[in-house]
Amino acid sequence: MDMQVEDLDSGVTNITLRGRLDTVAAGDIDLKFSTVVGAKRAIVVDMSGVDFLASLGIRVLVMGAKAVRNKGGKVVLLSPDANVHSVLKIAGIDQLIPIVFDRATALSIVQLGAASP
Amino acid sequence: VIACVQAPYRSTLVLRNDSGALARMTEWILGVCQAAALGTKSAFALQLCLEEAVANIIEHGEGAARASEIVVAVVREGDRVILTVEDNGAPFDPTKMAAPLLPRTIEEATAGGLGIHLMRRFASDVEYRREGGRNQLWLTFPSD
Repeated sequence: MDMQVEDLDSGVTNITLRGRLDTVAAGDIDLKFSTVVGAKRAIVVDMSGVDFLASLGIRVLVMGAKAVRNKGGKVVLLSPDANVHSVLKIAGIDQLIPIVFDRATALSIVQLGAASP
Repeated sequence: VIACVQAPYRSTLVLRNDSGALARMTEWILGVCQAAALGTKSAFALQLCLEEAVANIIEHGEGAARASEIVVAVVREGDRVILTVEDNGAPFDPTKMAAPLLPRTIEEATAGGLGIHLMRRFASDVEYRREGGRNQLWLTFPSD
């Protein structure tokens, strides 16, 4: 699992995940992911390169989004593939974290969410 | 007349319950999905259910209750795929677990409890048996 972090000029942090977010990978990226999201308020997680997602991977995403929400920030998941999207929906994650399929919408949601009290 | 009958495909992996078990399992199942010529959707469902079932076995049980060996097998017969996951740990029937209450807000979200829910939804059938001192989980998938 590859994780790239990029701070955009707009104040949004883009996290790009690539590969399998399975049980082993979730353990590998948990600390790095939680450290990055712990320091940011507006985060887009680009999921388009993730080809597998298991429950411990979901846990990393949800706990990260929860930490950001507790600081008044916002996380959005961008462009999961069909199988990964179906896992997210069945786990009810689409009710907790916005899932969108275009970057402009993702940016506007996190910027608005992070700006509101 | 030439009869076109697809031969059944079968593969089995015996795993020691150690820190490398999940990595070895992933390498095996990726090869199985390719060799059994599974479509993207059924390959994903199979990998997800296998991952959740085995991670659950590895995570649970301490001391004598802990499984030391996990045997996983995939059989493709015609339009269905059967996954069996067998372990020698303490009796545990995941089919008896209550469905989780999914959180309605991110504030309510807690860690865990999703694995069995995902297995039930991604497999078309999940059955449990306890035989010869072993837990046996049978999961069926339609193949695409």
